[in-house]
Amino acid sequence: MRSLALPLLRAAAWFEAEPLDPRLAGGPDGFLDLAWGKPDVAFVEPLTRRRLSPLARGIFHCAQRVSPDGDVPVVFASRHGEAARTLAILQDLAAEREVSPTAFSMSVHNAVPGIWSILKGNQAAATALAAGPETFGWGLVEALGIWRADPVTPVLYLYGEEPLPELWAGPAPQPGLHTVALLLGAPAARILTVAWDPALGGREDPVPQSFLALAALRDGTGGEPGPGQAAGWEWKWAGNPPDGPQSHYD
Amino acid sequence: MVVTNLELKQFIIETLGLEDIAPEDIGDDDPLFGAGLGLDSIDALELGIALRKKYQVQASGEEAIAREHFASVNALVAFIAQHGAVPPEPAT
Repeated sequence: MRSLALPLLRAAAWFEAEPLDPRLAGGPDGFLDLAWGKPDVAFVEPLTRRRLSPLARGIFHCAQRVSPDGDVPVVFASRHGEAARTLAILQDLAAEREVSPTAFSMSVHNAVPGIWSILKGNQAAATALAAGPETFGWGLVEALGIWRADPVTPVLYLYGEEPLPELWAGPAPQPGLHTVALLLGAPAARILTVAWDPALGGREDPVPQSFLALAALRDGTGGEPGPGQAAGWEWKWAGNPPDGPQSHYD
Repeated sequence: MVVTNLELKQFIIETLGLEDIAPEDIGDDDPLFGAGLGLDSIDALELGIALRKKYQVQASGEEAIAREHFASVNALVAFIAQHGAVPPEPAT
């Protein structure tokens, strides 16, 4: 197993529907800002807001809750991104109809972090990733790498997933639309450890990594070994750090 | 093709997903782009495509998104009156 410690300053998650997973029931706790229902994007001006998909709205809801002032690097990760927009574009092309310029501009994978950066005037670098069933974990590893290169500056990690359109959805059940924002930095308010076995990687996991990580953040027990961690990733709450600035390296 | 100002305003709001804007919020001579309603170049392209679809506006390419036609609701209604048509397929 390989493991990393992720120092977190703040965390927020949003679900379109109240999560049924018992590890996520009960709403927010002292650290994790957990919400469901209508995302709060009233802070986004209407002309920008109108183009935001449900996925983007959920991500902005979370990002606003954890984002600091000033320029911070952004890592956005989503396995499928705005797949519904992409499918609509392809269907228009197949029918030889003109493609919606709005849908095209918003369908690219880095549209969400791009609009976030414009909204916040954030001039730090942003990157957009997808890594199959392990997208949540590898996106977080990328964010950690960026933070370690410059530990003085926090890094904003944004993650979101929505079910694939029916045409593309396979037989496996898909998690409902949910989004996460984590602010990595020091001094950490809470440390999340993640361990994974490369030999087991790359497989579908019956429970999304994001659920396991959030559960671990909530009460420190979500990362205990159990069903739903068959794909070789294990998320654990490492407890609250002692006082004072620090960084955590293995 | 005759389109009323109200119909066109509703069409613009629907096509561009303008949240929180009602037809009465758009003045007949208000600029649609930039300082007025605040629409941008992507909106201009989107409107151009939607006009071709809905009103069969025959002008295409640069003519269809020329700045003067999109200046205001009044200008766009006049443009549709001139170029919009629902020509029946010629019988063969």
